[in-house]
Order: sequence, then structure tokens, then C-alpha cells
Amino acid sequence: MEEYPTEIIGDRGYIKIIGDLDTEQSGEMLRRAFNLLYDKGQRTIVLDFSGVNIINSYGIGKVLMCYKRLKSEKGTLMVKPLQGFVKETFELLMLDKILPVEQ
Amino acid sequence: MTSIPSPPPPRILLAGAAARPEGEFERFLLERGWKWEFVDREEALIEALKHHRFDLLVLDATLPSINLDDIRSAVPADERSHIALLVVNSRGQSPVFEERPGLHIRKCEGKLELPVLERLALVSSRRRQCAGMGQGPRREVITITAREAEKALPDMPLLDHLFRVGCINESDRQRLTLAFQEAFTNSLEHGSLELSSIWKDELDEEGRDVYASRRHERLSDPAFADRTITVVGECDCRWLTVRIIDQGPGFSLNHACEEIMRGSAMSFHGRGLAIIGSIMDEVSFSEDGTEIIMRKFLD
Repeated sequence: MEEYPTEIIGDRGYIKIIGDLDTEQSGEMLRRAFNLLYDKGQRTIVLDFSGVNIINSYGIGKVLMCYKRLKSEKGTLMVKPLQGFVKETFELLMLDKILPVEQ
Repeated sequence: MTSIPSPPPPRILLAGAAARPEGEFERFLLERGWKWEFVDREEALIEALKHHRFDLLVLDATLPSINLDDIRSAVPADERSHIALLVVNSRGQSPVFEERPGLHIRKCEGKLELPVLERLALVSSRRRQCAGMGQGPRREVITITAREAEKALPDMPLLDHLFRVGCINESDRQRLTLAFQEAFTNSLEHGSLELSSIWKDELDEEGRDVYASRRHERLSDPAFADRTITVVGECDCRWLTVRIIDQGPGFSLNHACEEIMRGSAMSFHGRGLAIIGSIMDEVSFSEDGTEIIMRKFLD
């Protein structure tokens, strides 16, 4: 896999993250997918972590970079409902306080 | 890779009315195909312990005429064998036994709790299997330079071993691997390469990521790149300890804690440490800050 699937539905862009978000390669794929939607003018972007088992500090750093970029444009970064270890990690690092969940 | 069979069915000794296998408890044992023996007198209990090996002893603390010294002597437990002792109806009872090598004790103040019994029985039978296969304590040491580590993080064969012998499941293995990788990366980047977390938020005059630039520079500088990182892993079926030692200037936990306390999730440095702390049971540092010691209890 070379790219994370993206799509635009209404006023939101979606990125489907597949596999673990814990390497330079996966971080780069996220960056490219994010830039693709951002360059199309999307300012509400939803990250779909339903296919992710493990996220490490590197992956979280990439998520936060996406968050900062949108926030500077008064945009919103959201996540789809999280589960398992990813959910635990987000809560541990208080990311659930700054990243709304799309129901 | 040698395939390790599933742990053998636990062998259980049940002593006293509260441990009588009937109703739901009996169905529980039959469904699992476990072997058990029931006794309702202390003499029979001691005879059973002398002549047979059990993985789990379920002892009703109200067993009549119970002589704790006799039972204590009869329970076979040393570093080579393992038996779990589950004491039920222990409310108000003084401690019956002290833990010693090979003897693991749990208490239920009231009636028998089947999930507790199941876990103790399976852990104990797994240890019996490991002991029978010569799976005693293991140790491995890996030493690698920063330059080599940058190309590929080292593996932890101990985790593969623990998974193969059934001491951890796949989810445990993934999490422990993550904790190890986070700790190793910290030793590499903040220890050996002396990269400051603050640089992660900075861009230079040309808009380049300061942290990434300096990382690249230092990996080309032998003064940093030739520094070594040593990983010492030790385990048996009950615990895993991983120590990572670098040749950097030393890490200040107090300073890191202050940063963590001040920071919001946005500028949160120490994410790796937080993740490590959430996975491992114990995390500590050497006095000079060049070594992290992580321990996970596998019970």
C-alpha cells in the first residue's frame, strides 16, 4: 500500500488509516493524504483509525501536526470512534480533549 | 521455529465445603476437561499433596480441624515447581501462608470466584509446562551503535520467546514491543544523539524542521554516531525486565516531569515516556540518567 484512501463527503474530508501508525513510512502516508485534502480546501478532516492497532509517539506527533495546521486556519481535525489500544493512548495523552469524535 | 503446544489441562486439588465441585463449578470444570480431586478432611488433603502434583490448591479456610503447619509443610513449592494456592472464605482469617519461590497465593474473602480460579490454574499449568521444557530464566544482551540503530531498531527475541511459550498473547507482545521501541528511540535520540524535544517545535530560517536537521547532522558525526546503546533483557514466565543503557549525558526525570506537567496535549513532550508508563508495571532510571529499567509482571 502506498497511499491512505481519502474521500470528501459533504463538507468533510476523510482519511482511512490502514495498518499501524508507527513508522516514518506511515507518517509520510498520513502527511500526503492530509495535504491532498488540505490543498483541495478541506478544513474539516476526519481521521479513521478503525483499522489501526498500534500508534506510537511518532504517529501521534504526525496527528498533532495535522491538528496544528488545521487549527491555524480555524479548521477542525476529528477522529472516528476509537477502540482498543489507540483509544487508551489517546485518552492517556489527553488527545480526546482536543480531537472531537465523529459519531 | 519450534511450535509450543497449548498448556496442559490444569490439575486441581479442592479442599473443603466451599471448594466442593457441584452445580456451576462442576459444569465449569467438566466443560474444560480439567482434572480435579476433592477432599473434605485435612488428613486426606495432606495425603493428596504428598502423592500427587497439582497446579492449583483451592483451600476452604474454614476446613475443620485445619492444622496450618502441616499443610504448609505438605505444599510442595520451590523454584523448580509451581503451585498456586487459592484460599476461599478467608474473611477474618490471619495469613495462612507466606509466598515463597514457586508458591503463588490469592485469597477470596467470600465464596469461590471462578474467573480468579481459572486464571490461577492456567498460569500455574503453563509454568509447569515451561519448567518441563527447560524454559527457565533467559537473558539476552544486544549492543548497537547509534548509526546502526538508525537503520533499523533491534528486535527483542525475548518477546518472541514469551509469546511462543504462551506467557504473553499477541496483544501483549505488540504493546511490549511498542514500549521497548519507545524507550530505545528515547535512548537513541535524546541520549546518544543528545537531541532536545524542544527542537521538534522549531523551524530554522529556511523553514526546515530543526529536529530532523540536527538528527541527520549528528548521525554523520562519529562523536555521536559511534556511541553505543546496550539492551539487557531478562525474563521467566512471571516477569520481564528490560534495561536500556546509552552513552549520552543522562536524562533528568525531574526536568521531564516539569515539562509534562506544564505542557498541554499540544506541546506534549514525554509522550513516549507516558506510553511506556502505561504499558509497563514499573519504570525507573539510574541515578545518572543513562539507563532506563522497565519491568512487566506477566501474571
